[in-house]
Amino acid sequence: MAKKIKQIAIYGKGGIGKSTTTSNISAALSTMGYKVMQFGCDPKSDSTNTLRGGDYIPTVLDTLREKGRVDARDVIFPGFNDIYCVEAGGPAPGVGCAGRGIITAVTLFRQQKVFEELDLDYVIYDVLGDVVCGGFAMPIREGIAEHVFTVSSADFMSIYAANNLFKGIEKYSNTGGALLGGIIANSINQPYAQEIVDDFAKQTGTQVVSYVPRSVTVTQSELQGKTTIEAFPDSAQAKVYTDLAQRIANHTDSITPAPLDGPALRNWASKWADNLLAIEQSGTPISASVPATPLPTTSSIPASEKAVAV
Amino acid sequence: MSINLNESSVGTRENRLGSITGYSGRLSDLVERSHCGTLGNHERCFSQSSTCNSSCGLSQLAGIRDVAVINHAPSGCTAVAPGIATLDRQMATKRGVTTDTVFIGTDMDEQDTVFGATGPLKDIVREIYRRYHPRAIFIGASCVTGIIGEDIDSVVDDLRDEIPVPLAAIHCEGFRSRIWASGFDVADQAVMTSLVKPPKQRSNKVNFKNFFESARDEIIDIFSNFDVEPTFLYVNSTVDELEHLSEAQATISICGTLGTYLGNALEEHYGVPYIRTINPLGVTGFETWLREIGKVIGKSDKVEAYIAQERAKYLPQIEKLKGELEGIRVVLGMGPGYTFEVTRVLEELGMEVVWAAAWHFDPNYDNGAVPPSMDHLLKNGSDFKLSITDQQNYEILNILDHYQPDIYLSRHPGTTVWAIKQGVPALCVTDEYMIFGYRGVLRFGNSVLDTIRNRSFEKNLAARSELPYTDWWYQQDADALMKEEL
Repeated sequence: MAKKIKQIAIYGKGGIGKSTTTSNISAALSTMGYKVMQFGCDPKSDSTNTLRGGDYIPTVLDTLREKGRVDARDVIFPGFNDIYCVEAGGPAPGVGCAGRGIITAVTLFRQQKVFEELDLDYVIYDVLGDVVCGGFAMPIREGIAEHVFTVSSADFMSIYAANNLFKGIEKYSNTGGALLGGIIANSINQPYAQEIVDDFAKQTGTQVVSYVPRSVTVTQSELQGKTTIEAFPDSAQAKVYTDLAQRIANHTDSITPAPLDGPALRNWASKWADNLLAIEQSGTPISASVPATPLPTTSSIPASEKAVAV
Repeated sequence: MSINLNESSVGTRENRLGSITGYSGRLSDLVERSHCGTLGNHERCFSQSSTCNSSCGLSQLAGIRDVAVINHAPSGCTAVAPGIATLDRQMATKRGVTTDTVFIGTDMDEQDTVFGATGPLKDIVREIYRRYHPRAIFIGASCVTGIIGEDIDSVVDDLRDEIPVPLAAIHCEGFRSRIWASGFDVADQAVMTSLVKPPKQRSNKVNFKNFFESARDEIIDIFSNFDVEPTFLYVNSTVDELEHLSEAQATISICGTLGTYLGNALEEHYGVPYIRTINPLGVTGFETWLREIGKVIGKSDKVEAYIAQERAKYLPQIEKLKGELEGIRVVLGMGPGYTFEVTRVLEELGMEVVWAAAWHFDPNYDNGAVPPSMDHLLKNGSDFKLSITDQQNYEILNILDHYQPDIYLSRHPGTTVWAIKQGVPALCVTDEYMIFGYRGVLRFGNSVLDTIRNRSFEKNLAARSELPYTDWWYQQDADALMKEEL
């Protein structure tokens, strides 16, 4: 019997560092010896750039438009350490339907049994945005990704996007859809930023799998068109990504998150706004938890591991 | 490419088989490029409407007796329902059976499109089961559900424990393919994934895929000579019959376009041999086909005996008819599973193929091979002019005007009416068995002669019809509005 492919979807608000994080996870998993495919699901089609020296690759949808017929194997390109790179692609901004584009591209790969034939260990979908329509939910539906991780900073809009994602996961959770592995906290350099993400994780009954600091090493790597794992493999930042990848490799049980509803999210954000103001004015933090709601049980990572990146 | 039964969706003909809807050239070029994999498609800068793969796929499934087809779509997409329901009831009545199949639309509206409608869809499925107790329920996708990403697969999964009959999601979103025959494949996928069970034994049945089973009695009679019994698909099929398709001795299809997916899927997954010869139209086709069936089911002796007996009966009559048909100039427009079979029969009978049009073209079938009819034609010296045109009527009328054939043949009634309005005698070969076997050759040949000898109908209709095309258009080449090959 064929081995089980671990399929993971990584979501997050645009510009939050999702592709950077995803590419570094792919790179780290590949250096651990796994066969990895990274599947960019963003019309910008730049998810895999840092795995390919900064190059853009022809996308599934552009190829489909030009040729009318696509053998999925023709739109897979080798990246760093033989990672299989795919970009779904999509329409130009303001036209067409990007969500349908993702459905078309992912369906094409599934119909042609590509994942099984390549004998992959991991397929990682790097998905834009906050699940605004059925197309962006495609990777979390039944039979596609099993585990979802969301990249989020402490920025409110980023958390809003994560909360929307949780709603999508909750919707598909009882029909065999993907469940939540946890939050990858990105650009965490201030203690309060970690507290905000921690509190959101607590309120929604999930966990933070890693804290990734903002780092100039990442910028330097990306300017070279590389992941940090490739450009600065011995750096502290590379270790952060390697630890994150290892944690994802070890991860087995995901959960159904408990997203906040609109008023609860606004209330929670408003209390944190007060808290941040208080920090700025007096340096005295105020507790900012949302009124208690029943929380599902979740495994939390040991406190000793939380300190990894801070 | 292997057939994937783990998915509810199946690739379109364009993507799976490299099928095209735009081409103009000669048979030899089409066949050669099909073999070497260089055949591309020509888009058009102007296009008349064609047919949707949704109505094709869902109507195939609605032919099965006592099932429910739920078209999850705006009401306009279900405008085909009365036609489908009427046809299926007529087919059942003709055969002396009853069907309680229902075809239902979910009437998606603005709100359903904005907010999604899987909730109401579930309620509709429950209500359909409560009211009609169908033996299976097929839920069809539409352009709207495709665009909004409506997850009908999860609806099926969710209801599976609750509703005790097979359920299947049918991915026949209208915009996914220009080729309506892609609908045959999604219907086959639904049958294969939701109804067909693994074999427990080999039966004495052969699966016989066809459209309207008009030659049912004749075929049952022929196959009784070889000790096998045909199961006709899908019009008037029952769910019980379909569950046992995997146990048959072979799968046969009256049309290669119709049968490729089911035939190859049953062979690949359950070892049921798929008969891949030229089709049983005309003498050569019928005999080649019968001999292959005889070989596969181990009854070659009986097949040879049958052929000898029938030849003695019919060949003298066919030879006589040939003399009368000799030199008749023909243009034809049909699906590719017929165009390149009927052309063979026409040439066999001494007629001249002036132009052959096919509504699409599959450069290969699901086993990866070029359709056998193509090689057969080429090997026998054919090299007629042809076009691949998805029922682009303006091209057909241009061709008819240019070549002024003695007769136009089509299997789709709308196109023969237009030919007649232009004054060209036309014969609609809608019945898939019209040219089947020796008797079919006689039936067909005589119909051709009747059509061209009684010309008052087209003369009168043409004199009273005003066609929409300008003189300018008739002066152009028929492929003038095709773009560069992709």
